Amino acid sequence: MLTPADIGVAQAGSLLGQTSPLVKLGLALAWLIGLLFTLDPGPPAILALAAILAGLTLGGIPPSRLAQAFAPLSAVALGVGLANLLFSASNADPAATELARVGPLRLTTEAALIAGGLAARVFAIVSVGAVFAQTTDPARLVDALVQQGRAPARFAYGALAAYQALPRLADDLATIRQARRIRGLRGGWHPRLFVSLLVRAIRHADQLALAMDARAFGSGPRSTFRPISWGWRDLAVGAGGLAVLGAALLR
Amino acid sequence: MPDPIVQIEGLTFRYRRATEPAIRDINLSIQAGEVVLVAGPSGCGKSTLIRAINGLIPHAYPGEFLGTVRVAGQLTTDLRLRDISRSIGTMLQDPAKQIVGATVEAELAFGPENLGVERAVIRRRIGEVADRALLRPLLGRETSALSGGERQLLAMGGILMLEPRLYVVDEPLANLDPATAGRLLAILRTLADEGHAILIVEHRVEEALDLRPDRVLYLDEGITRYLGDVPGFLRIADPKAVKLPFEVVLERFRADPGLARASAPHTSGAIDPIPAAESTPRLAYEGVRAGYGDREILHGVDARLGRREVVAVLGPNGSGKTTLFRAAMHLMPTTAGRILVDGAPIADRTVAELAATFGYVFQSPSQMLFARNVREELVFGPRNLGRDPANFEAIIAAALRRTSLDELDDILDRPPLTLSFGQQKRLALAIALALEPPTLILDEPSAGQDHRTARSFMAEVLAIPDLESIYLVTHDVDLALTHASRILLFMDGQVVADGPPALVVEDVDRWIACNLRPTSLMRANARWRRPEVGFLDAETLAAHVLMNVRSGTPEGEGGSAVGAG
Repeated sequence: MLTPADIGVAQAGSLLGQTSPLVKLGLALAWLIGLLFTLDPGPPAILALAAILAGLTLGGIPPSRLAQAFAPLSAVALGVGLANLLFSASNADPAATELARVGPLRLTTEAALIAGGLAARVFAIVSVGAVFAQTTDPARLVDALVQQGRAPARFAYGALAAYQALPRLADDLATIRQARRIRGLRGGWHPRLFVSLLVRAIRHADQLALAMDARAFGSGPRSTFRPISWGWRDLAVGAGGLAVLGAALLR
Repeated sequence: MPDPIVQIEGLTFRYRRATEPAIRDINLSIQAGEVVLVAGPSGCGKSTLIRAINGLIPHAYPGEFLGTVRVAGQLTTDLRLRDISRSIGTMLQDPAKQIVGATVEAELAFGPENLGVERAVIRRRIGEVADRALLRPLLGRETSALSGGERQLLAMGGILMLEPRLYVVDEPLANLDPATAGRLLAILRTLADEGHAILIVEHRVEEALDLRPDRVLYLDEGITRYLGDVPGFLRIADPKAVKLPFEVVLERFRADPGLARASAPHTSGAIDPIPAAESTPRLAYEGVRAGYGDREILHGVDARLGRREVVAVLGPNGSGKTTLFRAAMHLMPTTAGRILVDGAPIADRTVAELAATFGYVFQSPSQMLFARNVREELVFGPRNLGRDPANFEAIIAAALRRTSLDELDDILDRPPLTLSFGQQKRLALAIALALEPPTLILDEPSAGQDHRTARSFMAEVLAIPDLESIYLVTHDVDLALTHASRILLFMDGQVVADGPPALVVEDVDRWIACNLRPTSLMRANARWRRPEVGFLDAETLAAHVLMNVRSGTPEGEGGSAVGAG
């Protein structure tokens, strides 16, 4: 989900794809902050559902692709829910309402509510993140950060470079681990592994910075090849998103 | 004469932390339409010269700067990088790793955007550059999905977008298969014909001569050894330090018999080949398919690699050469077929057990290094494999001696990542040798090293006693042909040819289809070599050609044949 995805023509041309990445980023943050104000399973479930529906209809994300993007982390959401359902302290509280009994385990309604709330929250975060990543071209995100968010270009391009370096760092890590395995370690994780990785990452960042400097980066005012301007989509998506958040919280 | 684009006078530069200058008293001026080749071994000061021309020295690298560098008549010390980059476009070493944009268009637009060029102009230039750098089919793609060769062409496109007057290109051929390298050189030649100037740094002189340079600057240890036309350079260049065309080596030997005598006779090392068919092969592939995730890379490989053989695997970038051996080390799963080592399927063996048979040396040595110091690095493997600690000192000493690392002071206490690239490469080999394997697997042994260090590296490998076989993956055609007893040609995840070098190179069309190119050494071997001996390296072949001339055998006309005999 965090690797720079080739986001596809359908997604890039969709309503969400054409919306300013900053609006989507702002909205995603607003939704996640909104979730801090409730422990109910309801609001996060509504937001997760809304994000998925929006992604499929307004974002043009093929369902299989969306499923692929959040399947691994959804398993985490389920795990969090299950662990809390089984091991919540309220299961031991005699005052709590018994919901069911599984062997020696007593499951209570209170535990189920907490578990549901936590699982729904993780699920909401994952869905919002997946829909954002699947409808946002990293190049457009950087353009929007610089042009609309007035972020310094060096910061924005640095962040983009780091983001794009992730798959290569993952490859590097895999190769370094292979190199250790051929010397008798069974793929173990060792802190010194990250020293090698860090050395390589720093060297790479250094080279990249030089390459950028050699192309006159950061030496004066820039022009923009892909200007990003505010439009009706931004207003519609922003207002719609806030309305969904309001409805979910105030229901 | 018009003003030069770049004029360097009396340039000496010492990096802040260094004790010695990296370059001394350099004088060079470059005119429009000129192609200048800068040649020399690693550490000769080539990269420093480039940085001084494109302004990174002194703007990004502080240090002691004497003399002057003028770009379009103005001192670089007075100009901003922005102004310099309007005249000078630089393609740094390994540009494929230096792509900034997320899409091909964004990458192309990046330079002009930095200079504040208008949108309509950028759009027009993207169209022009896409045609010129063969990028048209890539427009609209994400840069992360491009192959290595495509990224290299894109990096070239990024420089073309700036329309500089001088193109500075640092070792562009190092990471490319020969066909892609040829495309890049053709683009540069066209630019020169249109009146741009080119400064190319390359120690692969034979290929760089395709660019038809007007002048050569030959550097060694930061000092100008030669500056002048190509014929003059070929008369003085050290054939051991830079890779020269065979005809030049022959000419030099003819002119200077001392040089010929100094060249050691070719030895094929201790390995005496026994064909795989005659015994149980060390490594056998039977219909092997393997890949990463959904992407299959090996599409049904059948091959047998013998116990006593030097086998070279050649083929285009991304054809699956490295995957072939990663699969044999059990580092990745196979989806079909089976791999046998000494007759037994590897499915039953661990990576560590296989490592005792195959000493695997990765292309990038820093990926193998992680210990605190060289001693820890060397005992890491033997300790994990449960070898007797009483032998560790002897194992370390032998591994260091065989890789000439014992010549360095306090080598055992040095942190591995502080060694130079060539030393790291040797340490990676020493690590593999510490497990005392009968077979070595070398992934791109010459990559990143200059001609001299690559040659001595291979010579050391071949001199290792008790080694039964060597399997190597390489782009370096001459290295493969002169060292291997057998060649596997690989394309699209399959073996397309398998046989002795002399046979495999006969099909020139297939050779070219595999992104390889005929070299001057191949042609010379075809003409002069006796059929019963293997491919000879340039110096050995040249020495023998001359020896036969002197002893009365007529030279040339395709009639005479020589060999190590």
